[in-house]
Amino acid sequence: MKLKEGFILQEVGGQIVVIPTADDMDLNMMIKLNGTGAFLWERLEQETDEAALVNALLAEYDVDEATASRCVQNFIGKLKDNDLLA
Amino acid sequence: MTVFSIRVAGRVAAVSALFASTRSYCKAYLCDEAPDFSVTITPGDIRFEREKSAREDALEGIPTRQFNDEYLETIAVQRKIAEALFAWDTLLFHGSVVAVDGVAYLFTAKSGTGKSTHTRLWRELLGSRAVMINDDKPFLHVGGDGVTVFGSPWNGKHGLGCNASAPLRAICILQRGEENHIRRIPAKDAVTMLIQQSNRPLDKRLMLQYMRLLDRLSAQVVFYELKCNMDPQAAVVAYEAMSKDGKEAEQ
Repeated sequence: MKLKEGFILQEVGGQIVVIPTADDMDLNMMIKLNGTGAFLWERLEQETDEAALVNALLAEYDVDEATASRCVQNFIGKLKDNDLLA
Repeated sequence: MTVFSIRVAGRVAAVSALFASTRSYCKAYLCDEAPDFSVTITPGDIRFEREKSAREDALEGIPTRQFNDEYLETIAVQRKIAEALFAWDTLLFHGSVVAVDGVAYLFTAKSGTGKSTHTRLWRELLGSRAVMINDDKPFLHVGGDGVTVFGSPWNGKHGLGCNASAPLRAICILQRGEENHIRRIPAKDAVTMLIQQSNRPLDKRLMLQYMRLLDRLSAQVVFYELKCNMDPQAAVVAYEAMSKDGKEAEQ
């Protein structure tokens, strides 16, 4: 799985935000991410899968596998709900 | 075709416009210096502005507002100049700006909230110490050491503002309230407003530059949230808080 093209992620005033750049998207849309969200977002800019994301979280953060797995599933669920996956 | 040059935010734009009315709209900014960049308006630009405005009205759920070509050309010029000024770390912002004793304060909110009313209360409170820089679309130059706000020809329906600049101390998000209350907010709580009230580039290649400019802007001004009514006391509450704690008070 992979994110759709046409987004830009940047920290503004200590808050990580994603805004769309593609013409066919609502340009008023804005996504706020926390550190973990941004970490996963950046990995999803390339083709990846759930297991790879869980492993990436385990390598970067001090969490157990069940928590990491739940976190990844939550995040992917939100991306799907908002139609952000390619 | 009308050709003229204007100086905005410290840069000179050579403008080729379709209507003579655009030149008179910009009359306080005319100059005859060598241009830093040029903008040319075509009938396609007018069409673009009409369609963009109609799309925004649809998003807002209001009936499509009708504008004449002359008005739309002033917006097209604004958009092209704002686009060019990104190259000089300058962006167009939506708000009402008043300078007191040479230091500027910007109030932003959705149209119709009462920004202009509030800055009028400041002028009534402070008299000649308060100068209106712009009432709608000022330019903000984000320097290495502070933000400078500049007046622009796009100064709102009452034409309040002047061709002047001042260091910007604070940006205040204005909301209507029963009582008057102001509080400092951290930059991260102002991000949504910064993105909604600033002019985004049309050119996607400028998008990252635009976001970084907002980030630098957020580090160099302080932010407030003001809930206020239309009584003179609203200006007293806001001015006392915003003029007292400058950047220094943050630490």
